[in-house]
Amino acid sequence: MAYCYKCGVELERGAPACPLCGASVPTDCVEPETPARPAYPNFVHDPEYGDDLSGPERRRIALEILSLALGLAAAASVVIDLADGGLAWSRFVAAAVLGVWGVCAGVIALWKRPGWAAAAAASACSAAMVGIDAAGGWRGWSLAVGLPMAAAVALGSFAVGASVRKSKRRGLNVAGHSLIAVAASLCILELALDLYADGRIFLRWSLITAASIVPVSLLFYYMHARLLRGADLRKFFRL
Amino acid sequence: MNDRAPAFFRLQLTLAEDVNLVALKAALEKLARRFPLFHVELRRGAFWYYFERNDAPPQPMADSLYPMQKPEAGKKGAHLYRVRAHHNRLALEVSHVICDGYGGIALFKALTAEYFRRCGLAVPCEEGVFDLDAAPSPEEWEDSFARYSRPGLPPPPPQDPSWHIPGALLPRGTIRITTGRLSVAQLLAKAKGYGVTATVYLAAHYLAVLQEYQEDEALASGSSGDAWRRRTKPLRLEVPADMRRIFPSSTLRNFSLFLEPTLRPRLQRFEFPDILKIVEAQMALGLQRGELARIISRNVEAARSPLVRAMPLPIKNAFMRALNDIYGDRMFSGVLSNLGAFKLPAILRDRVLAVDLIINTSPIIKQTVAAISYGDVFSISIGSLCESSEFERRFLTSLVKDGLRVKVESNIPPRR
Ligand SMILES: [Zn+2]
Repeated sequence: MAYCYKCGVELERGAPACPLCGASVPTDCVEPETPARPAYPNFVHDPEYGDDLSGPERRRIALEILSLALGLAAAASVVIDLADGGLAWSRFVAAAVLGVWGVCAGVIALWKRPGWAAAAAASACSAAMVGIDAAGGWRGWSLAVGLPMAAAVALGSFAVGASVRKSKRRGLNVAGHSLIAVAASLCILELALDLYADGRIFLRWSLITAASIVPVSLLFYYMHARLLRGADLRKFFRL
Repeated sequence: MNDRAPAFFRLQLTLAEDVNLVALKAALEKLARRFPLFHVELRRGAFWYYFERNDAPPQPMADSLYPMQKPEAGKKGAHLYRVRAHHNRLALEVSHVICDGYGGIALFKALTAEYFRRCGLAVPCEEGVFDLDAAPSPEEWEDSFARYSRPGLPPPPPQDPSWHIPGALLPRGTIRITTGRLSVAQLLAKAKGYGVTATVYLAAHYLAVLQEYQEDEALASGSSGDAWRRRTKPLRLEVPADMRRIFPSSTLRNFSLFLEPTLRPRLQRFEFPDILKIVEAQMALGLQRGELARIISRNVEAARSPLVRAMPLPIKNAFMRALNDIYGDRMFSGVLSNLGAFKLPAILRDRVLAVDLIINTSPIIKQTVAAISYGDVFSISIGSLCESSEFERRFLTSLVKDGLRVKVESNIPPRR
């Protein structure tokens, strides 16, 4: 019978060490008989995680909580507004809440398909702007400015996402892509604003912004290319 | 429910021969008809979890180095219990969602008996083995808590958080099981010598070990003298007690409550004979009908509250998790469950060599001690999520120092 000389406990036949303190069993105490079969298998066999929430379950729960919270907020503002003497400002709140819900729900539901998620978010955003526009007495800004803006942002994020997915090495080039997309969106925004305000196109501030943004993104591309070719980071930044 | 430590417990047999999978499969199929309570799956609705019948018998599953991990509960078609085999080891892992130790043992005995019948033995329905050809009785799935709830009783006093063993945790999905086996006769003689039951004796050892551990940790962190006692938390055990002995019931569903033997090292250092007296008195006090009735009523009434019922499930779950951490696991330094003697029909005496009980634990409590006896072997299994096996060493060697012979095995080797 093998004992642990430290703990005084009896050990399994053929056990190489004490399971409590780790002290090894002196070889003269290990009996020459065949060692006992270990009580537990030496492999791990488990069914897949079940108690852990899967991705779709997580997204469904997020959607449930989001809907509940936004629904409560919208309902509360409508009730307060009604108590205040009729539906006035709460119409804007309701339209905005619907828009936020649409954007989030679209993104959550289409998580695995970023392109579709961007499209859904843009449509929800435009719909919300149309709603707010209508709630405040129709002035048409939602169609003239909001729609092109939402489309520009969606297209921009889609383009950045697609190019990121295509590039084999991701790094500073992502920042470069994003900056270019921002510059392009700003140009579209000014274009839409000009057309809405006085019907003429006269790009000014967006071009200035783009002129300052584009060199920065070019710098990012350059650094990305240099680092890809194996430049030492310390040397590159003269550290 | 907890991601890391699902509330599962495990009963395992060591057989004289390797498990026959064909017989095991046939036994599981036969079992499904007799135990409708266990043949449900947990599904989620918008406001509550609900059970749905699932009459398909579970398939036997290979055993794993780390038992009781990753249950499938909540998945479509998943059972709340599973049967595992490895060489001559046969194990049943059951979720606490459906039953307590009493129900688990009923299922396990029926499974064992039917398994050996399929192996060609004429196993009689005695020693608590259910007759698989009889019709299941509705009393077996009665909610006995609801039956014995008496609204209007004053709620039990609130508890303060207790001390927990410090230290790093094992990696996710792993657990260390250390089993110590000793002689029932020796253990009972020892407990009788102190004039207490085996459960009280083990609980006293448990608390004494925690007290010493807490003291050593305080001194190791640089405290000197008794100054650390002023800030120290109590040591409290969760000792499940079968309510069927006090409130007549034959349900297989959960019908257990916890006794809470507690030491307050803030007051003084306790010697072992004092701890024995304290634990015995506290457990006797906790087992009074009135005390138990008010705990039952509090639990039942809380679940009936319209506020709780109207909460959507995701929010309920988040609350439940937080509340379980704050009000469940933080209240206890450890868990001691003693299921007592496990008896099988005499014909199986040479076929079943050993029985063990293992209870899963949580990252907050970190270790549990579960005991069951079979023949003259008293098996104590410690389930631990601690990286260090220090608690196991202290607990089992304290039994050795008290003059008991203990044989030890573990599923993973200790780290030095
Ligand atoms: Zn040792």
